[in-house]
Amino acid sequence: MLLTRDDWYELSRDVDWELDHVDRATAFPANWTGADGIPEKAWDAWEEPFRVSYRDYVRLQREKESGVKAVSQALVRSGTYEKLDPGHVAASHLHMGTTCMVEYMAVTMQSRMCRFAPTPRWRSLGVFGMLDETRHTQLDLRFSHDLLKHDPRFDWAQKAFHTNEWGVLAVKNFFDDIMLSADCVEAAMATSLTVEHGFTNIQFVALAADAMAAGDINWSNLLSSIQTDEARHAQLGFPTLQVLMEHDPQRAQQALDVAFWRSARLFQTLTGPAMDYYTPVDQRKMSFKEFMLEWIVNHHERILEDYGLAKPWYWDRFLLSLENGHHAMHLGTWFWRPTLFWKPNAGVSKAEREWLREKYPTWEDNWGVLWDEVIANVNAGRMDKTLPETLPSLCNLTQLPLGSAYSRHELAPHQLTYNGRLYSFDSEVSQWVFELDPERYAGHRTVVDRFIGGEIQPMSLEGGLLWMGLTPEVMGDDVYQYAWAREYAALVETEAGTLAGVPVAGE
Amino acid sequence: MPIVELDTDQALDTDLVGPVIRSGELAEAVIDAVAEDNPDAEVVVVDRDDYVRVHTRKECRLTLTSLVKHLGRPYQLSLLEIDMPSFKGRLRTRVDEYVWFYDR
Ligand SMILES: [Fe+2]
Ligand SMILES: [Fe+2]
Repeated sequence: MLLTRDDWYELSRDVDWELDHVDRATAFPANWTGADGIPEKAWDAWEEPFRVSYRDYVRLQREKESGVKAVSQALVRSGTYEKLDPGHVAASHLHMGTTCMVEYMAVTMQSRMCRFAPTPRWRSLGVFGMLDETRHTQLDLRFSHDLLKHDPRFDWAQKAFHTNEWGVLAVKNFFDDIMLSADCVEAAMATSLTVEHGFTNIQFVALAADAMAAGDINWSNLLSSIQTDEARHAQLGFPTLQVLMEHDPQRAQQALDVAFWRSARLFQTLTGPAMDYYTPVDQRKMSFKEFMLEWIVNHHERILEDYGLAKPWYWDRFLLSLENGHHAMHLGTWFWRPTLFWKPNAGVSKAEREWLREKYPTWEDNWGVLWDEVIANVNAGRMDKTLPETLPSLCNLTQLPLGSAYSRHELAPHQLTYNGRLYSFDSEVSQWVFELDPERYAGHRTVVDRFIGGEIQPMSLEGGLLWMGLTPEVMGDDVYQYAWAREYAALVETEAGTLAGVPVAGE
Repeated sequence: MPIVELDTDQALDTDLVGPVIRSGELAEAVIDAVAEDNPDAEVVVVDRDDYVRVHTRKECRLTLTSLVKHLGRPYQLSLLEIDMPSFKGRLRTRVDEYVWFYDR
């Protein structure tokens, strides 16, 4: 009788080297395994939720690949991309530029697990994870390469991480920390559980549903195919969490709370604007907040509770940020649009505003009034007032603008001095993260620090753009050329008598 | 084995567990198989056009036998991964059965 995988799995997963020439601590240094303080025996309880054999793996991945390729070839040939809404395609530019190289960083992280993880069971899964992330990188590169002839912005799939574009630096800062510099146990908490089991669902499943509705079958299909790998290899975090809950629950809670806040802030930047502003309003499945409640609160936090973890201490602040943070990031990125490599949609036409009001009852008071100012300036032809002259002050932890975590009513400064240097934070939570391990973050200089330090020349916005690698053919501008503001023009004229008769921008 | 279809999961019980499958023939077969494998449970289906949640409360079993029956062709549970971008709850995978569950 033929053996099934379950017949031999438990034997094969424990196949391991016996070390003769070096001792264990040399072969598996604690600063790479992250297993300090955890007895070696503890790892015998490490039970992978998702069993994988190499034979199955190759067969499945081959099938996934041919599926994605078939869809993509058919769609590229039929010219689907040219028919997509220009507001929506910005979401795919943003994705490829900020995510492709994170997939590549994840190859390194998985390779570290496959070499240094504290149990052979986990090391075997690291091999599959490494191959998964190689696939994701190559999928993104192939997708971008196919579409490069339509838009030079797809070049940023490869280029972005070699530039100093500020948003890319913020992404890189986080993943340098939790993928490239983290030991295996910490990477399992921060990357496998928080990012891969939690937040990537927002981009790769929820936004994929929006993309499908917007007719972008090629991209949507690529995203959800990638997430089928993520859903599997993210699972290695759970048995690791189980071991940690036995031996060092405090460490698990802290690592997860830190990664949760940093992920929330990052996805407010990457996914929030794409869902609530770039996706055409009649094609939006749900709001960013609703998707976050579905995937992060209902889906991700519930399973952490099952392992005995508490919600992060800052839960109330997270919920406040959930209402506001991505609106702040959207207003900020739109205003600083020359510093982007994609074309943002303002997304505040009357119909879009009605949708925003319905989804976020506080939106008008927190954000609408600021957009009214922008609209008045656009309609009065004062375009200079809608564009930046300086750089925004940035958080020394998240690298995102100060004032972008909550609403305009919550702008209290969060600052501390460490070794004689002043550090500023976008929130009390980011400050808390810094204070847990100041040495880890203190040496990093934000874009503004580098500007003040004279590294960016000439010291002007133009110098900054040059330093960020933003060339004219990719530089961001309003994707609809401000057409959405015109429906407010009459309003401006009647409400503000002195502005009566001002030309509408673009005419 | 009632199947309840919802178009929003705002008020969904957080104790639900089970797979999220890309829409299509497989998702339909998974719904029927889960209904058969969890005879005492209410099967909650949330269809988001692109993906479908197929959940039951606290524990959700899916056996190879029922899935093959409802799919009408030979199958292996490991193939599920190809069309499963996510799932809710803990998971235990065996050749003849997948189980999603919560302990608490
Ligand atoms: Fe990945
Ligand atoms: Fe991954």
